[in-house]
Amino acid sequence: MRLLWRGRPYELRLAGHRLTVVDPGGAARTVEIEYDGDVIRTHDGSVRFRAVRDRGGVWVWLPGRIEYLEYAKSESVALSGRDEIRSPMTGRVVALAVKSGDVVQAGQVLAVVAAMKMEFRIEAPHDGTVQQVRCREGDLVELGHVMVELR
Amino acid sequence: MVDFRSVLIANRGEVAVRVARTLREMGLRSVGVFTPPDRRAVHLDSCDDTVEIDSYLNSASILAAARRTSTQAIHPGWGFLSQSPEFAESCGQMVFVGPTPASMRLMGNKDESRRAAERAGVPVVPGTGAMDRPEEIVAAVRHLGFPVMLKAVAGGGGKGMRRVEGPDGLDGAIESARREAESSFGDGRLLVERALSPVRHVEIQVIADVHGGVYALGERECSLQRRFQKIVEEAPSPAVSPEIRAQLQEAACRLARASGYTNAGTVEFLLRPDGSFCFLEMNTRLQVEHPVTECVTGVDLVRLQIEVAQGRKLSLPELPPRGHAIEARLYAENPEAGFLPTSGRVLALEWPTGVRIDHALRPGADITPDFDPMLGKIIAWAPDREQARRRLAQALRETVFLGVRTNLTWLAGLLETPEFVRGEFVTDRLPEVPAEEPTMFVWAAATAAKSASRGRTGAWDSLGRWRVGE
Repeated sequence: MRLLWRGRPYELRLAGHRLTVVDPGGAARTVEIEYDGDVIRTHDGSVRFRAVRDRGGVWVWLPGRIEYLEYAKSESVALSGRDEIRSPMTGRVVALAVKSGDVVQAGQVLAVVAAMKMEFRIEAPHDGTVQQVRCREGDLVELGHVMVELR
Repeated sequence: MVDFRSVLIANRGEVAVRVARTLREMGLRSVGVFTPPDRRAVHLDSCDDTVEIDSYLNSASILAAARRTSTQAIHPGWGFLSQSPEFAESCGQMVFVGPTPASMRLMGNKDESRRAAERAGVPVVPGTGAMDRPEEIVAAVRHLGFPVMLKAVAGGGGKGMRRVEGPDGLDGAIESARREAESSFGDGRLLVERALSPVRHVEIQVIADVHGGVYALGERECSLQRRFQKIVEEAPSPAVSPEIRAQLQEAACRLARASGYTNAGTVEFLLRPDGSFCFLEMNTRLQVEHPVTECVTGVDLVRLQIEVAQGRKLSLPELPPRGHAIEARLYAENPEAGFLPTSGRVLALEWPTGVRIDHALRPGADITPDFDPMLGKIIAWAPDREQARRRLAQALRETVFLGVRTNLTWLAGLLETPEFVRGEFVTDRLPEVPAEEPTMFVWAAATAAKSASRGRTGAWDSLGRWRVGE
């Protein structure tokens, strides 16, 4: 199976007690693992853990470590696609600076989203033309909502 | 003496839990309030009675709730209406646990509070008065010289506040600060101060009774901030010697006395490396980070607030800091994505032991973008700073919080940076916290969750008791 760590794909294979992990660079590591209640044992030692799934991935806690490993299929809804400018968080659109057909430069502010009363600027990742604007001022947008399409 | 037996807590979450704890200890009846979405909120479990209101910002609704429950006093906590002089005024016959409306008006206005400090002989940061027109603000900035701080005159909590490094970002910063100030406070006026650097943010806790008694309870070091939100606070400050402490306390008490201040308040200062300092602002309420002061002085600040509101004369001995306390604020935010706020459902939650934890969370709770992103805070006390640092870092590492991204592991990493270990940090630069690749243990844990069949472990179950291959 494939899990993403910070957007980078890792391939995991479990055969009996042998877990093999292939990192994005293609390097493989294999380790013998054993689960005993809330403890994982390997030849390197044992560690307590918690793990919970949700719809998008797996949450893992180990002492001093919390990770969210997304299922690979969510790769297609990465935060900022090449031409789809997505909201980086759930919040309200407090300003919309562009309209369809506008020519924008890299770094230009397209919109401003506010959450918890803090404002965040959504900037153009590259030069281009606004293809479509898919939100209005005052809208509540979800994390990952496509706000502007650029070409 | 004003006798009251019951207190309505006009707040929610960890604030309400904190205030209710002291009320119970004092044998006073606590009345909690909730809005419809908060009907089953954790803070209601701490209160003797609970009553529904329309909004935590609707004073009429809160006052009606107080009358319905025959409450004689109102504690506003912090946030929401805690700094609203109109709310304090509208309490009428009921006792508002806090300073007078006049004090709140004076200190709530950054322009007037600067003047009050100057009148009391407390140095202020070089800056201007309130301004409304962008052209006027631009001219004032040119005169002061970059870098500058733009501040909403009516502001607080970092809202409507922008640091501007040079002319390029100025127009945009003025525009967005004005918009944020207008939407948060209904007043878009700004003032400009020179951005001092390097400085530390050090604040003095004061408490004053209605008989002229003004007491300082030492300082809190709050230099570690992002977007003007505090992240880690400690008492005492590693940068404050007994001599500087005496000067800071003296300045804070002078300002409180000169302005006829009563109840709890915090005077914030910027401290330069040479030990000189400037007044920043005074917060007319209990603060989020009050626990570190409680840890090193042994006082209960909510209790003192209640006693002052009852008209009692305080009699506090000199309380030099005993040991060291450090607090870490847990935020719903993603350190890997620019610390943007996060939301979602808490799927697993286990707290550490041996530390103070102020929170109002439970597994299954939804973290929404409607309220402050702060989830709670963990406070460690020990006989010295290094032990407190280690104790807090250990507690952060032991905290299980799954389902919503938080800054937990980032905080643990922050406490291990050389800057934090040495206690050498300033307000405008956070130490770099390195990120690490997942270990094989991480992948093994993920595998355990992923390979469990849906029927046996839904999204709600922790996999603690489950074995691969069974």
